[in-house]
Amino acid sequence: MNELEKTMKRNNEDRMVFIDFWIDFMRNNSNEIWSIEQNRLINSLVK
Amino acid sequence: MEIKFIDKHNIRLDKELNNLDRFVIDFTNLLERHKINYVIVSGYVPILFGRTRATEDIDVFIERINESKIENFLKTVEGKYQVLNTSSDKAFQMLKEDVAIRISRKNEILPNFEIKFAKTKFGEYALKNRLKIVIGDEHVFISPIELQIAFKIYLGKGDISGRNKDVEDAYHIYKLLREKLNKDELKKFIKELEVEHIARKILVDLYE
Repeated sequence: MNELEKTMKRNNEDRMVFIDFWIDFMRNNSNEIWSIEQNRLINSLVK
Repeated sequence: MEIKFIDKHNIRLDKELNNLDRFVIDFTNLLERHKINYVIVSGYVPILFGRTRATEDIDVFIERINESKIENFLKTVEGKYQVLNTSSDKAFQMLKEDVAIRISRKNEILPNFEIKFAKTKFGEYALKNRLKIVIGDEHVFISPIELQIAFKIYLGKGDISGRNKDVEDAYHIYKLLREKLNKDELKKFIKELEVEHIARKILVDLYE
């Protein structure tokens, strides 16, 4: 596996780890709290 | 986080609606007002359940309806919405030929709805077995979760080297809702779509 492929594989793994982190955040916080975080992203893109 | 599975066809989801949710609900309310059965599939489903990304289009399957019903619907909504990829009078023909029509808010392009007739076996299943997601006083209909996860893995199967948002979407929904899922049904869809080899790597505990 060349260096670029290794980087891409690591990036993909990092994103899956972030999903784990985010799901834990959603599970452990109220709807208002996690919604604010998600809505900050989405409302910046969709008016 | 509060997600309550009321019964096999109804889920109550407590969240603060964002602009994309409102965009979707405004339009699907119009479909319902015109008695057009619909189901939302693909990218918006994980976003509805909190995924941290946006989307340029919302994929919607509608039941096969006749030309006058389509024309009447488009005529009624034309003050607020526009068909992007054809004229309103040719929309039915496109749908009939299994080509999606794209509908956006007037004078805007993004986001937009990509609307098709539910013609495939899986599309028909999604429409027939759609889930009602109730959010406060609003609601939307989405594909059964188990089919959605399997289909997202299927969509992502050809892309194993770069970023794979479809597989990430499948993983997000599975991780969030796994305690409530019908595991046998999920495995059945994964098998039917011939993506078990990928699912075993991503949804590891499903096969333990």
